[in-house]
Amino acid sequence: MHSETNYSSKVEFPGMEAPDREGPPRKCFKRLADALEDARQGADKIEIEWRVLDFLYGRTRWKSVTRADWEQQVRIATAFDENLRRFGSARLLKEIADQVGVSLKAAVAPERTLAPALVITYHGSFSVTLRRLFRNLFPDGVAIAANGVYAAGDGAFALFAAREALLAEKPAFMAPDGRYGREAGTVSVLGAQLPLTDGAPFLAHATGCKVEWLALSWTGRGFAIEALAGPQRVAGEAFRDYRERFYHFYAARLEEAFTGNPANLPLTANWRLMFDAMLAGKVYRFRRPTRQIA
Amino acid sequence: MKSGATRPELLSTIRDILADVVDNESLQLTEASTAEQVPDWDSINQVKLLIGLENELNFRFSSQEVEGLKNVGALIDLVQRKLAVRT
Repeated sequence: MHSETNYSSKVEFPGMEAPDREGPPRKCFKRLADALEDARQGADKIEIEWRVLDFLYGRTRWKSVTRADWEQQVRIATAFDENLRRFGSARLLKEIADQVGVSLKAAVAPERTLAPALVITYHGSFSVTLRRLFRNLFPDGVAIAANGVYAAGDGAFALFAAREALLAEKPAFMAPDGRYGREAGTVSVLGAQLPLTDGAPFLAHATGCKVEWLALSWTGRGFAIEALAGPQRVAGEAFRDYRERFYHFYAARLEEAFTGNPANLPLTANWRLMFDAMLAGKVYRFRRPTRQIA
Repeated sequence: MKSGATRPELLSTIRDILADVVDNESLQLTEASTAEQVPDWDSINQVKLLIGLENELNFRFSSQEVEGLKNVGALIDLVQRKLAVRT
């Protein structure tokens, strides 16, 4: 377990999840402005396949932005996301929480009388930062993630814990486009085939909980929460039918994200490889099995 | 099922539920069986198995209880403890 001391010895932020880091930290950002400025400085060094950029720019809804400006914004977003993910301090996370905490709470658990939601997002749009905010604002909730609350080593435990939370009217969080779990089909996102598991729709169907799509978006001056209610199981609905509705909704959100504001389009490796594979006429199959009863 | 259910009885119950979950009526299961040895026994189907046991035996597992189960025998151990506490 990481100590927070290296990141901030003065700011208390209970429940702070340790930043993702590979190797010793080279940077530590205590202010959003610093993390953004560093991203601007390093944007040109970000490696993104040119044909993926061409493809996504060809489908952007931000037609008023030139190709060069669009690409620069995507590069900055990708570097910014990495800075927040790998080098963000507790102080920096608190700065973001101050900006979006109220709206995040409102989206996930609007009223005490309503059951909290299964929050779904995707591995883009500052998703690791969003997960850290979730964990901090909902310490009794369950966040399923490879490096999060539950290690990917026991997928059944993670799912069971999330079900337990939802049945106890506590929120759960997951990004269904992640790396773990057995592939149970694909869904098309701008033509790329995204391998999926049945985990998220299974949880929502088994518990009948609300579903809420959330994304953390950069406004240029700060962060905001984008929230949209997802499909909820209706009485007597078969899992197969619900699953189709669920992933239709999810794919639509993904397509909206990938054709939307380039400032909110950090391109993670999986998605870059997925689009690149699609452009080569292939499917990038990245899923790894989790461990159950071993 | 009573608290004094034998291990063979519990193994049979687990087998029946899992056979239904993975859609394999000829499923063979022993106390040493693991998920890797049973086709389609993935994380979702394991949760379905646990939910099936809850419904069949009328108790609730906690997530802590089901973490890190080693094999079917470990699941039987857990079920026996749950049944014993229930009475």
